[in-house]
Amino acid sequence: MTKAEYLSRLGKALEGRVDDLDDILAEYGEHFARKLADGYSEDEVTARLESPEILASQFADEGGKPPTQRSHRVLAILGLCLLSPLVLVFVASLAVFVAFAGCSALAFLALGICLMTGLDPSSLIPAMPYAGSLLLGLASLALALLAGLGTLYSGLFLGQLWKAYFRWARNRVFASARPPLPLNPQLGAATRRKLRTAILVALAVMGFSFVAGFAVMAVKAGSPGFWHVWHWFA
Amino acid sequence: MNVQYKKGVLELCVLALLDEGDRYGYDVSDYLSKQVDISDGTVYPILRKLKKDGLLSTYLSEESGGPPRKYYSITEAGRAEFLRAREEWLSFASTIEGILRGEKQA
Repeated sequence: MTKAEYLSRLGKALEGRVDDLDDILAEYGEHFARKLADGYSEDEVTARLESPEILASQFADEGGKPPTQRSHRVLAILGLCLLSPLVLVFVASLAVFVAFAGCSALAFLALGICLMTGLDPSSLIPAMPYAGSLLLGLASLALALLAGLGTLYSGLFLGQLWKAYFRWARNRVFASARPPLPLNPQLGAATRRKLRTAILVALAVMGFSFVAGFAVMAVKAGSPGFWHVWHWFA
Repeated sequence: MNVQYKKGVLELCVLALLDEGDRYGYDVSDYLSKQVDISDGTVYPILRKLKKDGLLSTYLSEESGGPPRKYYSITEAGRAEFLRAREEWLSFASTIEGILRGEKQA
Protein backbone atom coordinates (compact mmCIF):
# COMPACT_ATOMS: atom_id res chain seq x y z
CA MET A 1 0.00 0.00 0.00
CA THR A 2 1.29 3.48 -0.77
CA LYS A 3 1.48 6.34 1.69
CA ALA A 4 -1.37 8.17 -0.03
CA GLU A 5 -3.62 5.10 0.03
CA TYR A 6 -2.82 4.45 3.68
CA LEU A 7 -3.51 8.01 4.78
CA SER A 8 -6.71 8.22 2.78
CA ARG A 9 -7.99 4.95 4.25
CA LEU A 10 -7.07 6.12 7.72
CA GLY A 11 -8.82 9.44 7.11
CA LYS A 12 -11.91 7.65 5.87
CA ALA A 13 -11.95 5.26 8.83
CA LEU A 14 -11.58 8.12 11.32
CA GLU A 15 -14.19 10.30 9.67
CA GLY A 16 -16.74 11.61 12.14
CA ARG A 17 -15.14 9.69 15.02
CA VAL A 18 -12.50 12.19 16.06
CA ASP A 19 -12.35 15.97 16.21
CA ASP A 20 -8.68 16.38 15.37
CA LEU A 21 -8.43 14.37 12.17
CA ASP A 22 -5.87 16.71 10.61
CA ASP A 23 -3.56 16.45 13.63
CA ILE A 24 -3.68 12.67 13.52
CA LEU A 25 -3.02 12.51 9.79
CA ALA A 26 -0.18 15.00 10.18
CA GLU A 27 1.39 12.73 12.81
CA TYR A 28 1.31 9.75 10.41
CA GLY A 29 2.49 11.98 7.57
CA GLU A 30 5.51 12.81 9.69
CA HIS A 31 5.96 9.13 10.48
CA PHE A 32 6.11 8.32 6.75
CA ALA A 33 8.42 11.23 6.04
CA ARG A 34 10.90 10.04 8.67
CA LYS A 35 10.76 6.39 7.63
CA LEU A 36 11.16 7.28 3.95
CA ALA A 37 14.11 9.48 4.84
CA ASP A 38 15.64 6.45 6.58
CA GLY A 39 15.44 4.56 3.29
CA TYR A 40 12.30 2.46 3.76
CA SER A 41 9.88 2.16 0.85
CA GLU A 42 6.26 3.24 1.27
CA ASP A 43 5.22 -0.41 1.10
CA GLU A 44 7.62 -1.36 3.88
CA VAL A 45 6.39 1.46 6.10
CA THR A 46 2.72 0.57 5.65
CA ALA A 47 3.48 -3.12 6.18
CA ARG A 48 4.89 -2.33 9.60
CA LEU A 49 1.90 -0.23 10.60
CA GLU A 50 -1.39 -1.66 11.81
CA SER A 51 -4.14 -1.60 9.21
CA PRO A 52 -5.77 1.86 8.98
CA GLU A 53 -9.08 0.47 10.23
CA ILE A 54 -7.55 -1.09 13.36
CA LEU A 55 -5.61 2.08 14.12
CA ALA A 56 -8.75 4.13 13.62
CA SER A 57 -10.61 2.02 16.17
CA GLN A 58 -7.77 2.60 18.63
CA PHE A 59 -8.15 6.35 18.19
CA ALA A 60 -11.90 6.18 18.40
CA ASP A 61 -11.78 4.16 21.64
CA GLU A 62 -9.78 6.96 23.12
CA GLY A 63 -11.83 10.10 23.33
CA GLY A 64 -13.69 9.84 20.07
CA LYS A 65 -16.76 11.97 19.63
CA PRO A 66 -20.11 11.07 18.17
CA PRO A 67 -20.80 12.09 14.56
CA THR A 68 -22.17 15.57 13.80
CA GLN A 69 -25.41 16.65 15.34
CA ARG A 70 -28.41 15.62 13.38
CA SER A 71 -29.98 19.10 13.22
CA HIS A 72 -26.83 20.48 11.61
CA ARG A 73 -26.88 17.76 9.05
CA VAL A 74 -30.55 18.26 8.21
CA LEU A 75 -29.90 21.97 7.65
CA ALA A 76 -26.93 21.27 5.41
CA ILE A 77 -28.87 18.73 3.36
CA LEU A 78 -31.77 21.17 2.99
CA GLY A 79 -29.42 23.89 1.75
CA LEU A 80 -27.82 21.51 -0.71
CA CYS A 81 -31.24 20.51 -2.05
CA LEU A 82 -32.08 24.18 -2.67
CA LEU A 83 -28.77 24.65 -4.42
CA SER A 84 -29.00 21.53 -6.55
CA PRO A 85 -31.29 22.89 -9.37
CA LEU A 86 -28.77 25.66 -10.04
CA VAL A 87 -25.89 23.22 -10.02
CA LEU A 88 -27.75 20.84 -12.30
CA VAL A 89 -28.53 23.61 -14.81
CA PHE A 90 -24.91 24.68 -14.78
CA VAL A 91 -23.60 21.17 -15.25
CA ALA A 92 -26.17 20.44 -17.94
CA SER A 93 -25.18 23.52 -19.97
CA LEU A 94 -21.53 22.54 -19.68
CA ALA A 95 -22.47 19.04 -20.83
CA VAL A 96 -24.27 20.53 -23.84
CA PHE A 97 -21.12 22.45 -24.67
CA VAL A 98 -19.03 19.27 -24.46
CA ALA A 99 -21.50 17.45 -26.70
CA PHE A 100 -21.45 20.32 -29.19
CA ALA A 101 -17.65 20.31 -29.30
CA GLY A 102 -17.69 16.55 -29.81
CA CYS A 103 -20.20 16.79 -32.70
CA SER A 104 -18.21 19.53 -34.41
CA ALA A 105 -15.07 17.40 -34.09
CA LEU A 106 -16.89 14.55 -35.87
CA ALA A 107 -18.27 16.91 -38.53
CA PHE A 108 -14.86 18.36 -39.32
CA LEU A 109 -13.40 14.87 -39.42
CA ALA A 110 -16.02 13.79 -41.99
CA LEU A 111 -15.53 16.95 -44.04
CA GLY A 112 -11.77 16.51 -44.04
CA ILE A 113 -12.02 12.90 -45.20
CA CYS A 114 -14.48 13.83 -47.97
CA LEU A 115 -12.30 16.69 -49.18
CA MET A 116 -9.15 14.62 -49.21
CA THR A 117 -10.61 11.54 -50.86
CA GLY A 118 -12.89 13.41 -53.26
CA LEU A 119 -15.93 11.58 -51.92
CA ASP A 120 -19.07 13.66 -51.79
CA PRO A 121 -21.96 11.38 -50.84
CA SER A 122 -24.48 14.20 -50.36
CA SER A 123 -23.25 16.51 -53.19
CA LEU A 124 -22.68 19.38 -50.78
CA ILE A 125 -19.08 20.13 -51.64
CA PRO A 126 -18.65 22.56 -54.54
CA ALA A 127 -16.27 21.77 -57.37
CA MET A 128 -12.65 22.77 -56.86
CA PRO A 129 -9.23 21.68 -58.07
CA TYR A 130 -7.92 18.61 -56.25
CA ALA A 131 -4.81 20.36 -54.87
CA GLY A 132 -7.04 22.92 -53.16
CA SER A 133 -9.43 20.30 -51.89
CA LEU A 134 -6.52 18.28 -50.45
CA LEU A 135 -5.16 21.30 -48.53
CA LEU A 136 -8.58 22.37 -47.24
CA GLY A 137 -9.21 18.76 -46.22
CA LEU A 138 -5.98 18.78 -44.21
CA ALA A 139 -7.06 22.03 -42.52
CA SER A 140 -10.39 20.45 -41.70
CA LEU A 141 -8.72 17.36 -40.19
CA ALA A 142 -6.50 19.60 -38.04
CA LEU A 143 -9.58 21.49 -36.91
CA ALA A 144 -11.25 18.17 -36.10
CA LEU A 145 -8.24 17.27 -33.92
CA LEU A 146 -8.45 20.62 -32.14
CA ALA A 147 -12.16 20.21 -31.54
CA GLY A 148 -11.56 16.64 -30.34
CA LEU A 149 -8.95 17.80 -27.85
CA GLY A 150 -11.29 20.57 -26.78
CA THR A 151 -14.02 17.99 -26.19
CA LEU A 152 -11.68 15.79 -24.21
CA TYR A 153 -10.44 18.63 -22.03
CA SER A 154 -13.85 20.15 -21.40
CA GLY A 155 -15.16 16.67 -20.60
CA LEU A 156 -12.39 16.16 -18.05
CA PHE A 157 -13.06 19.63 -16.69
CA LEU A 158 -16.74 18.84 -16.28
CA GLY A 159 -15.92 15.58 -14.48
CA GLN A 160 -13.47 17.28 -12.14
CA LEU A 161 -15.88 20.09 -11.42
CA TRP A 162 -18.57 17.57 -10.55
CA LYS A 163 -16.22 15.67 -8.23
CA ALA A 164 -15.07 18.89 -6.56
CA TYR A 165 -18.68 19.91 -6.02
CA PHE A 166 -19.46 16.53 -4.47
CA ARG A 167 -16.50 16.77 -2.13
CA TRP A 168 -17.61 20.25 -1.11
CA ALA A 169 -21.19 19.10 -0.58
CA ARG A 170 -20.16 16.12 1.53
CA ASN A 171 -17.88 18.31 3.63
CA ARG A 172 -20.96 20.39 4.46
CA VAL A 173 -22.81 17.32 5.69
CA PHE A 174 -20.12 15.29 7.46
CA ALA A 175 -18.15 16.38 10.48
CA SER A 176 -14.57 15.89 9.49
CA ALA A 177 -13.71 17.80 6.37
CA ARG A 178 -11.56 16.29 3.66
CA PRO A 179 -9.40 18.68 1.68
CA PRO A 180 -11.31 20.37 -1.14
CA LEU A 181 -10.52 19.21 -4.67
CA PRO A 182 -9.08 21.50 -7.33
CA LEU A 183 -11.47 22.68 -10.04
CA ASN A 184 -9.37 22.06 -13.12
CA PRO A 185 -8.41 18.59 -14.40
CA GLN A 186 -5.27 17.24 -12.79
CA LEU A 187 -3.16 16.07 -15.70
CA GLY A 188 0.40 14.88 -15.29
CA ALA A 189 3.21 17.09 -16.55
CA ALA A 190 3.91 14.69 -19.45
CA THR A 191 0.24 14.61 -20.52
CA ARG A 192 0.02 18.39 -20.36
CA ARG A 193 3.14 18.70 -22.51
CA LYS A 194 1.77 16.24 -25.08
CA LEU A 195 -1.57 18.05 -25.15
CA ARG A 196 0.15 21.38 -25.69
CA THR A 197 2.34 19.97 -28.48
CA ALA A 198 -0.68 18.40 -30.19
CA ILE A 199 -2.61 21.68 -30.04
CA LEU A 200 0.30 23.71 -31.40
CA VAL A 201 0.98 21.24 -34.23
CA ALA A 202 -2.72 21.10 -35.14
CA LEU A 203 -2.95 24.92 -35.12
CA ALA A 204 0.14 25.24 -37.30
CA VAL A 205 -1.07 22.59 -39.77
CA MET A 206 -4.51 24.14 -39.92
CA GLY A 207 -3.20 27.69 -40.48
CA PHE A 208 -0.66 26.61 -43.08
CA SER A 209 -2.92 24.36 -45.11
CA PHE A 210 -5.86 26.76 -45.05
CA VAL A 211 -3.74 29.66 -46.32
CA ALA A 212 -1.99 27.40 -48.87
CA GLY A 213 -5.33 25.95 -50.09
CA PHE A 214 -6.76 29.44 -50.44
CA ALA A 215 -3.67 30.57 -52.37
CA VAL A 216 -3.74 27.55 -54.68
CA MET A 217 -7.37 28.14 -55.59
CA ALA A 218 -6.90 31.88 -56.06
CA VAL A 219 -4.07 31.14 -58.49
CA LYS A 220 -6.04 28.44 -60.37
CA ALA A 221 -9.09 30.68 -60.69
CA GLY A 222 -6.99 33.74 -61.47
CA SER A 223 -8.82 35.75 -58.83
CA PRO A 224 -8.75 35.94 -55.01
CA GLY A 225 -12.53 35.59 -55.07
CA PHE A 226 -12.36 32.13 -56.62
CA TRP A 227 -15.82 31.21 -55.37
CA HIS A 228 -17.31 33.84 -57.72
CA VAL A 229 -15.33 32.47 -60.63
CA TRP A 230 -16.58 28.95 -59.97
CA HIS A 231 -20.13 30.08 -59.15
CA TRP A 232 -20.13 28.28 -55.79
CA PHE A 233 -23.02 30.15 -54.28
CA ALA A 234 -24.96 30.89 -57.42
CA MET B 1 1.20 -10.16 23.46
CA ASN B 2 -2.36 -9.10 24.21
CA VAL B 3 -3.08 -5.65 22.79
CA GLN B 4 -5.05 -4.20 25.71
CA TYR B 5 -2.47 -5.48 28.16
CA LYS B 6 0.37 -4.03 26.14
CA LYS B 7 -1.39 -0.71 25.80
CA GLY B 8 -1.55 -0.17 29.55
CA VAL B 9 2.14 -0.89 29.89
CA LEU B 10 2.95 1.30 26.90
CA GLU B 11 1.26 4.28 28.53
CA LEU B 12 3.63 3.86 31.43
CA CYS B 13 6.61 3.57 29.05
CA VAL B 14 5.60 6.74 27.22
CA LEU B 15 5.35 8.62 30.49
CA ALA B 16 8.74 7.28 31.60
CA LEU B 17 10.34 8.35 28.33
CA LEU B 18 8.85 11.84 28.45
CA ASP B 19 9.75 12.20 32.14
CA GLU B 20 13.37 12.29 30.98
CA GLY B 21 12.71 15.09 28.51
CA ASP B 22 10.49 16.32 25.71
CA ARG B 23 10.36 14.31 22.48
CA TYR B 24 8.38 14.56 19.29
CA GLY B 25 5.86 11.93 18.25
CA TYR B 26 7.98 9.99 15.79
CA ASP B 27 10.88 9.86 18.25
CA VAL B 28 8.71 8.28 20.96
CA SER B 29 7.13 5.87 18.49
CA ASP B 30 10.43 4.83 16.95
CA TYR B 31 12.14 4.33 20.30
CA LEU B 32 9.34 2.20 21.75
CA SER B 33 8.71 0.09 18.67
CA LYS B 34 12.40 -0.78 18.65
CA GLN B 35 12.32 -1.81 22.33
CA VAL B 36 8.92 -3.47 22.57
CA ASP B 37 7.35 -5.82 20.05
CA ILE B 38 4.54 -3.59 18.75
CA SER B 39 3.48 -2.46 15.29
CA ASP B 40 4.73 0.93 14.21
CA GLY B 41 2.17 3.61 14.77
CA THR B 42 0.56 2.07 17.86
CA VAL B 43 2.09 4.77 20.02
CA TYR B 44 0.29 7.71 18.39
CA PRO B 45 -3.16 6.82 19.75
CA ILE B 46 -1.58 6.49 23.18
CA LEU B 47 0.10 9.90 22.96
CA ARG B 48 -3.22 11.39 21.95
CA LYS B 49 -5.08 9.75 24.82
CA LEU B 50 -2.51 10.86 27.41
CA LYS B 51 -2.80 14.38 26.05
CA LYS B 52 -6.60 14.27 26.29
CA ASP B 53 -6.25 13.05 29.87
CA GLY B 54 -4.07 16.06 30.63
CA LEU B 55 -0.97 14.02 31.39
CA LEU B 56 0.91 15.40 28.38
CA SER B 57 0.96 18.72 26.60
CA THR B 58 2.23 19.53 23.13
CA TYR B 59 3.99 22.42 21.50
CA LEU B 60 5.33 23.04 18.02
CA SER B 61 9.03 23.60 17.57
CA GLU B 62 10.75 24.81 14.43
CA GLU B 63 13.52 22.60 13.17
CA SER B 64 16.25 23.90 10.89
CA GLY B 65 15.05 23.44 7.31
CA GLY B 66 11.81 21.56 7.92
CA PRO B 67 8.23 21.98 8.99
CA PRO B 68 7.61 22.54 12.71
CA ARG B 69 7.46 19.35 14.76
CA LYS B 70 4.95 18.53 17.46
CA TYR B 71 6.77 17.93 20.73
CA TYR B 72 5.21 16.14 23.67
CA SER B 73 5.99 17.26 27.17
CA ILE B 74 4.90 15.72 30.48
CA THR B 75 2.66 17.86 32.69
CA GLU B 76 2.69 18.04 36.49
CA ALA B 77 -0.35 15.76 36.56
CA GLY B 78 1.47 13.44 34.19
CA ARG B 79 4.53 13.29 36.40
CA ALA B 80 2.43 12.54 39.49
CA GLU B 81 0.55 9.81 37.62
CA PHE B 82 3.82 8.39 36.33
CA LEU B 83 5.37 8.14 39.82
CA ARG B 84 2.24 6.50 41.18
CA ALA B 85 1.88 4.06 38.29
CA ARG B 86 5.58 3.22 38.33
CA GLU B 87 5.48 2.24 42.00
CA GLU B 88 2.38 0.18 41.36
CA TRP B 89 3.97 -1.58 38.42
CA LEU B 90 7.31 -2.25 40.12
CA SER B 91 5.71 -3.77 43.17
CA PHE B 92 3.27 -5.76 41.01
CA ALA B 93 6.14 -6.96 38.80
CA SER B 94 8.30 -8.02 41.72
CA THR B 95 5.42 -9.98 43.23
CA ILE B 96 4.79 -11.73 39.91
CA GLU B 97 8.46 -12.41 39.48
CA GLY B 98 8.59 -13.97 42.91
CA ILE B 99 5.67 -16.22 42.09
CA LEU B 100 7.10 -17.21 38.74
CA ARG B 101 10.45 -18.07 40.30
CA GLY B 102 8.72 -20.20 42.91
CA GLU B 103 9.72 -18.14 45.94
CA LYS B 104 7.21 -18.64 48.73
CA GLN B 105 6.07 -15.48 50.52
CA ALA B 106 5.73 -15.61 54.27
